[in-house]
Amino acid sequence: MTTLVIILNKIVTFLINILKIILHKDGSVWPGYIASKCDPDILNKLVYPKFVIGVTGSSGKGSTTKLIAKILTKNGYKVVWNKNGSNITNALTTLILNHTNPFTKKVKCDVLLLELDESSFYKVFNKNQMTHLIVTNLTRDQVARNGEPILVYNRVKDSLSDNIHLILNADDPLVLRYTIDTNNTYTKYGIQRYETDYTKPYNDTLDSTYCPRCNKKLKYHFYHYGNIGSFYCKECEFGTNPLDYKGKDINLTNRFMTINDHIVKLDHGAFFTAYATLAAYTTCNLIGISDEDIMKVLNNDYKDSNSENMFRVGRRKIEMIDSKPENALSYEQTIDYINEQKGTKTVVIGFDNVSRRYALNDLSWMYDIDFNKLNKKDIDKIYCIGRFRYDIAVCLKYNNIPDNKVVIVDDYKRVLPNKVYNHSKGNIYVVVFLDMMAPVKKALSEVRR
Amino acid sequence: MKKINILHLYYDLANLSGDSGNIKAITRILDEQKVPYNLDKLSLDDDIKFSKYDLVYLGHMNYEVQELIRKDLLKYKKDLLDAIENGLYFISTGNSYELFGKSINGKKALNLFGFESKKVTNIVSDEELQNLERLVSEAICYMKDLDYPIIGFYNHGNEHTNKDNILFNVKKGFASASLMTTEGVHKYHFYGTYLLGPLLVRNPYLLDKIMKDLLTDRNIPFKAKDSLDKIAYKEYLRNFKIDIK
Repeated sequence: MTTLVIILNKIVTFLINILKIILHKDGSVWPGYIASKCDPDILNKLVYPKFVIGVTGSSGKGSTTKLIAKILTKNGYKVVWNKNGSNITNALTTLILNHTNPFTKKVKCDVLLLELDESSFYKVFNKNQMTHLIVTNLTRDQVARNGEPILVYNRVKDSLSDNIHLILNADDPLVLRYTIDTNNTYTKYGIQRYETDYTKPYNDTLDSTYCPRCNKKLKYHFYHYGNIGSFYCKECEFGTNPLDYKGKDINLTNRFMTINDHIVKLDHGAFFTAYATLAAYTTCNLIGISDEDIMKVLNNDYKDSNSENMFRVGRRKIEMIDSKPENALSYEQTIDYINEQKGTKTVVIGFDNVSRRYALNDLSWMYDIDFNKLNKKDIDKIYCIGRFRYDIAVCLKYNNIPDNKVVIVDDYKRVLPNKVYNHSKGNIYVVVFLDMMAPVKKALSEVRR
Repeated sequence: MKKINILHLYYDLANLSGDSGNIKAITRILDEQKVPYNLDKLSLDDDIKFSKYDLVYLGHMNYEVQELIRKDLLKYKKDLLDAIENGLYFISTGNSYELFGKSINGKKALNLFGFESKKVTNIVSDEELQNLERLVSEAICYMKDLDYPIIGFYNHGNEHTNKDNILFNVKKGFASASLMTTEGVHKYHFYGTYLLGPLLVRNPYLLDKIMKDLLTDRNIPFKAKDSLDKIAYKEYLRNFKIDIK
């Protein structure tokens, strides 16, 4: 039966790939869906490679997974991974079965590397196949779907089997809590002080700032962003330090950082890239790749991870930044990234839908973002576009952005190019959700000046 | 002119859904009306004197935090309930208002109202919203004495079937339980609703009403003003085809 289900998955994938060309729709979930219907326990009947690595968390799991895959592949490992980012159960089932020999039932790779949806990965594996799990962070994200971070924390905790080695971002108090609540072995990574860190919380909307053991407020040496930083409890030993893998001396302008005294390049100038690089380094080093071999890949095979979303119109550089609503900290890092860029800047912000998964438009997350970080001299104008442009403008107003900097654009496809190119200055940073990436890019790139 | 004393209660814990927006909205109104105010932020381990405040705001929280706050608030039960009875304006959003019912999952609460909150039982199955043990929906509600609909969002894991001191009639959304059509509580000047997040930003006419009542009670004149919030609110109604009463 297992053999037949694996073959069926391959046949359905083949057919879907043909249909995909005609219909232009991704159907990666369907083979896995059909296979699971035939045998709900199919994934537990396979023979897995020595390393099965999961990457989960509220943000950063995609970029971390990509970097791990790159380092492993360049070092000669055969890696099966979900490179298209489909991280829900049926898509993963499709992927795994397509790389499984139907007769030996062996998953044909050295490393199975999976970006896992933090709320549903328990549906993928229910036995002891996974060997390592990286948890990048657990912050407010898609709360309509996930509930609060503590619920996601519990869901992941309940899915852990004792054999999994945890690789934890120790700068996140909720992630570090796994060291208290589970018996799993673990490795802690974190980033030391950075030049733009805060010594006091930037705002009050911080999750998990109380010690999970003592219920006393955590003390912080510094905050990188949100509640992510170096913390400790005065009553017990719960805290970021000691770290097994330390990131430090980050230079986002020249794009490098130091990890345990080794200098590595960053493939993007945003702070979250440092976390992804550190997590990938830690993981690859743990499974046996030497520092030198990791550095060879990171330092010699360099390309900006967002280069395909950068273009020029005349003298203006335009960078499109896909920014998912419903994750305030992730959104805010985009703002931090914009602030890190030199020169005068114009910003475009918008979204037509809060989610791609559901038709619910909770706008609460917007008020967890410190938009007042955009209240800088070098920000010339902020254009609000999309269905919620007025709500964005209100939020900017409440964050003390001066009225003369905020422009609401009602028909962005027609009007935005003229507004931006003729009435604003500097490089243009377009912060939009995936649903608007293509139309805004088209509007801004096809303009004749 | 009398200074208005505002307390953002458990500001560092009960802030799960953009709650700071509500404080900004309240202070915006006071700034516009040129009324002086003082804003305190207090939490666990602070000594809280509710009687010194004119307005207290308490936001949405996770259920682990709710248990910490439940224990802490019971210490202040008499002072807090006396203050509410004596004219304190209290705005409680999200699951925070469960603390003012009789109990939460069998544990004693403040008992300003008689309802008992319990874990959601009528579980709604949705493939995309795999978060099944919660009532999650957009909301459109109507309130007595207000000509404008209330818009917002529900996302709560407990429910109750309170039928007294009702705040809203719910036209769209899960209300206080999945089969209910009413939601929230209003008694004295206490406003409690499962609607979470920046309720007062998104509903500027509700904000006007509460602030007008509060200021008028204190013999301070209030004159409603136009604002970007009101334009955004009307744009939202137009976008989502929501009728004004």
